[in-house]
Parts: sequence; structure tokens; C-alpha cells
Amino acid sequence: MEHARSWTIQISVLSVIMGGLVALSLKTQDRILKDQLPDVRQGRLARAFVELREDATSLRRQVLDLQKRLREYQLQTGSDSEKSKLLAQDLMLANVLAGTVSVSGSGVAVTLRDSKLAERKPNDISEADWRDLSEEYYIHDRDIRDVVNELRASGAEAISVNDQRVTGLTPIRCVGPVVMVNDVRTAGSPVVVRAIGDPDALLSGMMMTKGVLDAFRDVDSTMVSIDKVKSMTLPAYAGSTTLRYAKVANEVKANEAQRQSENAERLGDKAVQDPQSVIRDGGKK
Amino acid sequence: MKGQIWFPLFGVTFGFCAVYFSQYTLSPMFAPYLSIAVLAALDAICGGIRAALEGKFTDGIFITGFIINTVLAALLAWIGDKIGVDIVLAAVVMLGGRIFLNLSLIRRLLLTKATS
Repeated sequence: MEHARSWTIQISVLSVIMGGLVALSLKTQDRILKDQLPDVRQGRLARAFVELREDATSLRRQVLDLQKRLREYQLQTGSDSEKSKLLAQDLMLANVLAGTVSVSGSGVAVTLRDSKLAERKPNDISEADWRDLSEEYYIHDRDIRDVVNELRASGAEAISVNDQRVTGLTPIRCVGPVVMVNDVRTAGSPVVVRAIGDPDALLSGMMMTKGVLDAFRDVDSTMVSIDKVKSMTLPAYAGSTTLRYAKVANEVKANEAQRQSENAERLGDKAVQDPQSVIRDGGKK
Repeated sequence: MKGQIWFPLFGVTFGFCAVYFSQYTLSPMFAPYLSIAVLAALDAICGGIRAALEGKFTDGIFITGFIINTVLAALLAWIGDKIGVDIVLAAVVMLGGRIFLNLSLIRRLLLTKATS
């Protein structure tokens, strides 16, 4: 009899536990269905994503390391003779222009951020209408590109967006709420564009009437702030620098391309003096 | 002896209701482990009832069997998740097979007891 009670109690206790587990399992599955979570695989995807991101970060660090070593080699060969010293200097200049070395200097920092007004939806406006109306309260990729472009026009020598160096081939675009610079994701707000150059020239380029930032000032002046910076350091471009398609042109082709460019320039001059003639002649000489 | 057979059923109902109507939920991350735990518990209960009916029930074996099975199944699920192979299916097949086996034995034992 003693024995019989013992097994009943134990099995009953385990039954209670199992009932609880079943209920818990049911509730969890319910939640998965409700949240539209792709059940088990989500965890796996998340893990794969994190791993890939870590890989990308370490690879980027590796690229930077290799680039640094390359620069050291270039400097070392430069110290050999006077001629190669000049060569190394030229190379350094090209590196600065290409954005493959970290540079410091004075300049400005332009900070763009989404307006707080975007969150204040009036009650009498529908959700969909508000999405259209609140467009101008957000920073878009085109705004960042405009700022970068204007900074270049104002004589910036090196530019970074959210500490991603902007090179001659850098795309800047939005993917949802994030901004992709050099195919690296950064925050969409605030966006800090830093440019090295003459601070006053850069500042006046930014402050120009009818300039790129004028529209923001009309909407909400807190969306933009510009600061002169005495000294800052922009990071080097940490992406791939291998070329697969572009080759250095031979002399004949280069000369021809130069002539074309000069022709186009002449056409431009003509367009300024007599806009009608360009349309009439259709760009023919 | 016959009345005691119903205790586990009451237990299941009680446990189910207690958790189902509580606020407690688990992260969806643990969903696969949970279903394995349910299977292991069901297997242990079936095995326990069978052993009891055969009169071979031993305290230690019952509880340790449940715990070890659950831990092992969870471990398999975890390792399988890591290396991308659903090893946990092995545990599911094994436990499922045992549950059916035990149920058929329980049925036979109860029937023979009822007829004798």
C-alpha cells in the first residue's frame, strides 16, 4: 500500500508539470503565430546575421591594417633616395585625395537630425496623410548628398559621413531608416557630416541663401547645426580598393578624351553666351 | 488501485489550467526545447504507469529518468541547432516510439487485469 501511494504521488506531480509544460508550449506557439515569427529559424537567422556582421567588421579591420602596412612600405621606399622621396610624397597626396589614409585638419561639422515635429501628429489627420505630410521632417539620403556636394563645392578636401570616409566612389543612400555610406549602415538621425577645409569658406557655403540647408531652416531650424572645428581627424576609407574594370588609358586615347573634354568646355562657354545656339546646333562643332 | 489511475489525469488538467490562465509566457526562442520537455515528461509518465501496473515501480528510476531524458533531449536540440542538423528528431522519434510502446503495454495490462 505504501508503495502504491508513492508512485501515484510521483506520477501525479510529474503530470502537473507536464500539464504546465503543455500549456506553456501552447501559449508560446500562439504567440509565435500571432507575432508572425518564423518560429525556430529566427534564432538561427539572427545568429548568422551577427556572425556575418562580426566577420565584416574584422575583415574591414584587416583591410585597414593592410592599407597601413602598404603605406609604411611606401614611406620606407621613399626614404631611400631623393627621387623616390618625391614619388612617395606624390603617392601620399594621391592617398589623401582617394581617402585611403586618415587625415586631420580644421573644418566644419554639419549635424542633420530628424525634426521632433514628426512625432506630433495632429489628431484630425489620417496616418497615411501624415506620412506624406511629415516627409519634410525627416533627413533623407538626398539631403546628405546635397550637403556633401555643397561642401565639395566650397573647397572641402576630405569629407566623412557618420565617420565613414567619403571617397570619389562612395554611394550615400537610404535603406529604410538607416543610411548606407560605403555600404556600411549608420544611423539615419543624427547624421554628422564632417569636412576638412577652410572653415569659413565651408561655413559660408553651408549658410548660403537658397542653399542646401535653407529648406530645413524653414521647416524646423533645429534640424541643422553647423560647427566650426579647429582640429579633427577623419578616418580612412576601409573598403576594397581593387579595380576590375578601369585601366589606365594609353596616350592616344587619353589625348582624345582630353580633347573631348575641352570641346565640351567650349560648348559650355558658348551656352553661357548664347543659349539658343547650342540647341540649334545640337552640340555639333 | 483503479482510482489512482485518474490522479495523473487530474494532475495534467490542473497543471495545464494553472499555467494557461496565468500571465507567464516564455520567449519564443525556447519553443523547441519546450516541446522536447513535454515529450520527455509524457514518456516518463507512460513509463511510470506501466512500471506501476507491472509492480516494478522504483522511486529513483522514475524521477532520474525524466530529468536525464529532458536534459539529454535539450542538449541534442541545442547541439543540433549549433551544427545545423536536427539531431533533436532522434530524441523525438525515440521518445515517441517509447510512448506508443508503453501505452500499448499499459492497455494490455489493464485489459488483462479487467478480464481476470
